[in-house]
Amino acid sequence: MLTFTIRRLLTLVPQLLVAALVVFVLTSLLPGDAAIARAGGESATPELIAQYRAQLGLDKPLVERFIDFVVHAATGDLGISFSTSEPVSDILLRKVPVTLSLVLLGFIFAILIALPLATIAALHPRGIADRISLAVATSGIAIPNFWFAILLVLLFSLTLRWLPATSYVPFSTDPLQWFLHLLLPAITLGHALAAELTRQLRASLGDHLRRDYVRTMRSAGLSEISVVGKHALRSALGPAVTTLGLQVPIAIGTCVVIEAVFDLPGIGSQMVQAVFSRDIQVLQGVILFTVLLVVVASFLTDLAYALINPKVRVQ
Amino acid sequence: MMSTEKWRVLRRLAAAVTVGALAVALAACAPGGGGEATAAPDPDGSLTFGYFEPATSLDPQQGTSSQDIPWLLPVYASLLSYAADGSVAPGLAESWELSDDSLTLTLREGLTFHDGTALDADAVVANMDRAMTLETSTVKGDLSSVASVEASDDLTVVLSLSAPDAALPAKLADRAGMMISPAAFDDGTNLAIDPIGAGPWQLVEYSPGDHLTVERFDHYYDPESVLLSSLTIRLIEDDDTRLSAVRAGEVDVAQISAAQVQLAGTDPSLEVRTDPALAVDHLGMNISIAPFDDPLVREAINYAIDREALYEGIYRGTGTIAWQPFPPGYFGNDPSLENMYPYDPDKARELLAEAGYPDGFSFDFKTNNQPFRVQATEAIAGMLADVGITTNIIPMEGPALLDEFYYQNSVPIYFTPWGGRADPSQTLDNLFGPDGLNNPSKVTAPDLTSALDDARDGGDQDARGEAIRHASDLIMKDSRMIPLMFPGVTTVVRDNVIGYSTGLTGKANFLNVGVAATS
Amino acid sequence: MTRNSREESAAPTRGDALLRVEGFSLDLAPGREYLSVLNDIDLEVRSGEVVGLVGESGSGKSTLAMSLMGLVPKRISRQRSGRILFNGVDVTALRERDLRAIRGRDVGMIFQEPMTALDPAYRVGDQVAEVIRRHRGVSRAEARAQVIEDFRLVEISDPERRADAYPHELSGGLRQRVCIAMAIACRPSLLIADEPTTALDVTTQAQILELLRRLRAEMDMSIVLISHDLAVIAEFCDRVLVMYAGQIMEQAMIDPFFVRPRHPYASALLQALPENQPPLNELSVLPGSPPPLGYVAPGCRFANRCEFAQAGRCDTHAVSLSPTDAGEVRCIRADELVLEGAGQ
Repeated sequence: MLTFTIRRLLTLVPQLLVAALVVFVLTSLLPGDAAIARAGGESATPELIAQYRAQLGLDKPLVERFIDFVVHAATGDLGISFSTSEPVSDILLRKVPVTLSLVLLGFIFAILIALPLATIAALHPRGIADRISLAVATSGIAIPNFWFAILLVLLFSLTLRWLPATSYVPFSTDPLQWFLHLLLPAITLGHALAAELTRQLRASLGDHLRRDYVRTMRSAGLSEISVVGKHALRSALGPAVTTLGLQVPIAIGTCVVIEAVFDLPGIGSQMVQAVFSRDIQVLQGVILFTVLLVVVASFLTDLAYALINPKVRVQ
Repeated sequence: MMSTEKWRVLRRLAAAVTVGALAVALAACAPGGGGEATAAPDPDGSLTFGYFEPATSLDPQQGTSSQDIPWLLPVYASLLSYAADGSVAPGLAESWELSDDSLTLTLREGLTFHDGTALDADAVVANMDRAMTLETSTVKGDLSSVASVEASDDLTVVLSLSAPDAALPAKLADRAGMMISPAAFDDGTNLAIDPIGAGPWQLVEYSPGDHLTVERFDHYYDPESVLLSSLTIRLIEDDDTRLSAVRAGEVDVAQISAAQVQLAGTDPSLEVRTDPALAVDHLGMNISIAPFDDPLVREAINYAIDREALYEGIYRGTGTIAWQPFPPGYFGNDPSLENMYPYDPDKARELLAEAGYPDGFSFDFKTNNQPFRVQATEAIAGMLADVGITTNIIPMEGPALLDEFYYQNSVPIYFTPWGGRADPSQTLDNLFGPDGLNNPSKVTAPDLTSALDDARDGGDQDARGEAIRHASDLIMKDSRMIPLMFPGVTTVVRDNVIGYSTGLTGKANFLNVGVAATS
Repeated sequence: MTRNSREESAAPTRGDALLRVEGFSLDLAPGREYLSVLNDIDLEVRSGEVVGLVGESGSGKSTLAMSLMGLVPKRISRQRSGRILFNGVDVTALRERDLRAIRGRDVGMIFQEPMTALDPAYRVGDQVAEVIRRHRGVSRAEARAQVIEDFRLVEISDPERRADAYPHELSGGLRQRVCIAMAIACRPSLLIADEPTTALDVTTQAQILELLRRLRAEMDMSIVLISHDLAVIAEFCDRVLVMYAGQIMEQAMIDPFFVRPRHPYASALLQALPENQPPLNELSVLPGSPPPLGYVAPGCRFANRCEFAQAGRCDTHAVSLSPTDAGEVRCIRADELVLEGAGQ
């Protein structure tokens, strides 16, 4: 397991380098000049634009800028925001906990929804739970996230007045308020993620329940809890964990919408602001962080998969 | 596998359930009332304002967007200010005297910045120097007529002018007149996020792209007007979220879009108000690009546009139809221009034929991809199609569109809001002057150029008004502008808020605004 | 060693009926509709006896094996008649938790596919230990010790190391030995072995059969051996039952059966048997295709493939089992026919 972990860790380095290159090239190719945006767009003067071009290093050759970017990024220096002159790392430090909280709670909700639903559905195909799980899967895909979020706000914030409609409270300030403020956003995210997870888990658990080893376990007189919970579910979780891993980038993408609807100051809304103000430095930092998150998520996914499935470790 | 029929039933079921839930929720929202507002403002009151755009910088001399202003106003006081009717009034300077070659400001006594630094004539000179010399200064242009600045004594500052500039006092009531503590210039303070001014409130906390919290500054020059003990401005970019936040009581005041007026009106604890403002939505043009270089074509477009339909359909009955650069009631407005190009598609077709386009023409109609602007663009495209001008709508991101319009001269015409300026000449010069930043063609006419000069150099308010009206006449005669609408500013205000209205500048200001003490 | 398990259940002496199936009929619903899969099954396994169950795939022999311990899911099955007595207790009337107490403790089962019969996610020793702990309630260490002992018993070399292996790290033969170790871990009185050697190569097959033979002798178990391979049955069983389309066609003591089968289907199976060579393809033992699941006919179910079938006689009335010298047969012409046995 240890050698597997180390080997898998080493593959992260080239992954991140390639990601850095792609991020850099894509953000550099964005139409519209950062210097123009920084200088005020509609009211920018040519002198101001030139001034910013030099100040932002946009007049240097692309290759030189890329090397600068990688070298600095490797040491944790992601540059200075074009628009607020804040260090990008400070901005990330402020915004990342919001999005991470949201994603984490979202996944927990997704699992809380999917696991029991899929298990009951797989044990009783064509039963009521199976139909409910299908409805959840359908609604999670068919109902747009922003619409679902608005319905939640309408019901729980504006009508029942149980939960806040917007904004964020850091965990360190007040854990209860942190949770309450993230509850609706996390349910929105969890609902979106649960759809695919329920479908996947139901199918894979159904598949495993038909496997020979389940028959062996049952014929040996093991309880259903052990047969399903300890044996079938463990193996069925393999594909589900992969699904979860693949959903991390989707979740972050969904956060852009959810953070907008619930006015959460996370990296999703930061990404949008950075795009509109052509704050390439921030944009690069945000995307690089997102890539890092996805890469780490896929690393953890592989690790979890290896824990579940001993065959993987050998390769 | 599941049959398509089953899927369809399920989908319909899902739709029915969600619509049902919405109906229940809406029904539940309708009745009920808010608390009664009492007339006396709470001296310890605090208020939260929801705003739709982040500040580009909290350094007034380096910020690049007019949407920075609401973020700056709590922290910074200006040398001069606007009265409620848009005219210039005293500010940090209690009086001023403008001549052709100088502007003399007399400061109030005993002013200080938030950090305790004295706000005297030397501080003003330091600010003016920085504003005029800083490489990335964005107010340099506003002060282009200023040759030098001197302190003649502790309270008197003299700005020597290289040319007459009637608009200078108005500019000093705006961003260019916002005074920053000179102590922060050299000590490494990042003013972009750590503002130090002499405004009614001082910084408590600023989280860029999220919120700004300020508390009452006890040494503000007009303490009577500061009713709020603290004020928070929250960035809420999404329109629906902003309204939800107000309805949930998490925000007290917020600007909303015209499309939301009806929904906001159903909530009895909210006041929905549209205040007039200088901003004008119009079709920005590059009149060097054919066929828009032909006045007949531009005139045809003016006739082709059904402004009533836009008013009802796109603006949902808010705002005022625009026939010229300045709204009715403003001193630069010319009543004789009202309804100059009434909706007349036949006339438009005739004019196009006369211009040599009997079958019309077609062009790429680019637009900012914000939903409202796309909607407006689509509506206008439909009207143009009626008279034979076919368009291919291309939504783009804002910065990319501006780049193409201003610097690549490749966008002939697009729907654009103009935020208005402190002084009418700023608007005229920018949009139509030979050096106008918002006139990418730089094309003008000799009579218009001299009319713009007259308007700028002016003299008293009446004479300037006359000159501005003359310039507007020339602009509209040649259809150099396709004005559409003065949208005004639509705001929702919770019923515990006392005294809120949006001034002519359109920028939220919380002086003389309070919240009712809750009993 | 065999004492432990015997103390927990009343041990019948050799020769008594340990398992008795009486008129058992079962319908299965693999799709929407129920199909008759087992029809009026009678079967008896005496203590210490080895009974072979032979038939083509789809004949219902595996479903019968699963039914013996109530392992056919209730959700997709419907019992029409009969009962299954194990040690005198009707298994079909037991609650699921009582059934679970019998499974693995009094009745062990092994299956055809050793490749997939074990959970790939757990070490094989732990899987066997789990069964021991489930039925004996012993400590981890005790269970582990017994796993090692059982592994030795089923002739797994280096049992300590093998116990820590994952299924994918073991060969097919070793895996089947692990499955056997699991099945006999609680020293059951009955072992149900469903095609235990089919998936193995010939050498391994012989070794496993030899192992089962030895265990049976040492532990005095009854065994129900299910196979499509008459050669295996012949080598191993005391008595044989031939199944076709959900019915028992013939049951007989093994020696007379091979010399003189009484049912045309049994005869055909025996003749198709190449000397000392198992058939390569289970499905094409004899001409015509095996009947589909749930096949029912007004007369004899084998009639349409039977070379001795007489129209108007064999295909009109249902046939019941009638006694023979060596057992029972389901054929109205049984007394008229003299059929060939296995080739000399």
